[in-house]
Amino acid sequence: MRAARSGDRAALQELVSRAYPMVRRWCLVRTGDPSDADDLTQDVLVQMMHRLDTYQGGARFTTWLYTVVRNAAIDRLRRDRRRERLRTDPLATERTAADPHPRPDQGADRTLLARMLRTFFEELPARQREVFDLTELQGLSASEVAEILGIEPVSVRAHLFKARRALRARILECHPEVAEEWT
Amino acid sequence: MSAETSCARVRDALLLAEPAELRGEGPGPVATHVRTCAACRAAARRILEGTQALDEWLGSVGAPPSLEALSALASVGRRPPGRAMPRGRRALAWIGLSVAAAAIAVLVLPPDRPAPVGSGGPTADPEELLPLVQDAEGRSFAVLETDDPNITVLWFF
Repeated sequence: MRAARSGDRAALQELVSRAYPMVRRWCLVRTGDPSDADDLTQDVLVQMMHRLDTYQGGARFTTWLYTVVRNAAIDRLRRDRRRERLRTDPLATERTAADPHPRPDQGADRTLLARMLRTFFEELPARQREVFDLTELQGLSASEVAEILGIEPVSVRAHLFKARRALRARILECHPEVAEEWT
Repeated sequence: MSAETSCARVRDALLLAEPAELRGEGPGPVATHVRTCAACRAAARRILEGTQALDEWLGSVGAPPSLEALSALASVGRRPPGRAMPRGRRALAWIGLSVAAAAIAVLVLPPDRPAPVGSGGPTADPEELLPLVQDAEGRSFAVLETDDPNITVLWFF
């Protein structure tokens, strides 16, 4: 870290390589769209390089980096909204016309299920998505997630339970055969 | 907790249970039931599969970008986001510019000339003193008419 801050390019590249998977994942959680996540990831990595000297070392690096991600996401959202006011998205109507909640037939393939899960995940509020990913999928403790997100551990649990309930209910809806077995 | 009597209760519990309980691990009532009831075990397995699929999607990444690519990105006119001047400082900058513009106007404009005969001072009709304020793309400016028809002051704020 020290070498990267002093401008050592090899160390900086190493830092970018290590941070990239984590940043890309966070960006995907924030945006819900792989293409947007790629753009946001680039923004974040550029900012990380420029702002490395502002990292004091007091907080964990991941906490600091997550703040960069959130700020970059807010900036991008603001810019996108500004652009949106200037032009209408020709794909918007197409996306709206498509069924947002496709229901697979029994025995649907894994790809379709994965796509539906992404849709369900995107429907969750951003905070629930963040908490669900960090806690449920990445296995961080409630206190660790609380530190990263700057919220109370009890809020982390509340968001996690809401996300779990919503997401799991939707998963089970995709499998009518499960409900049939229950009845 | 028998399989016959508690499926309905476990169905709700599955929505909030810890992943380990869904896998049937541990001594808890949900885990115990999942181990013994095929229907609830199938539901728990679906939940785990779905969660895993989501995890795989979120975790799928390509190769990290090179420093050269990031540097090029930063230098081709894409100002790194978040470096814009804060709103408060932008407002101060506008005020400063407005004051500077007013000072320049005072310096550049010719000194007071005698008022035209019959004009009766600055302006007879008080409504003529009110500047015409207009909005354009989030920025306001005032149009101040002067006694000289060739000079109009635009005051941006």
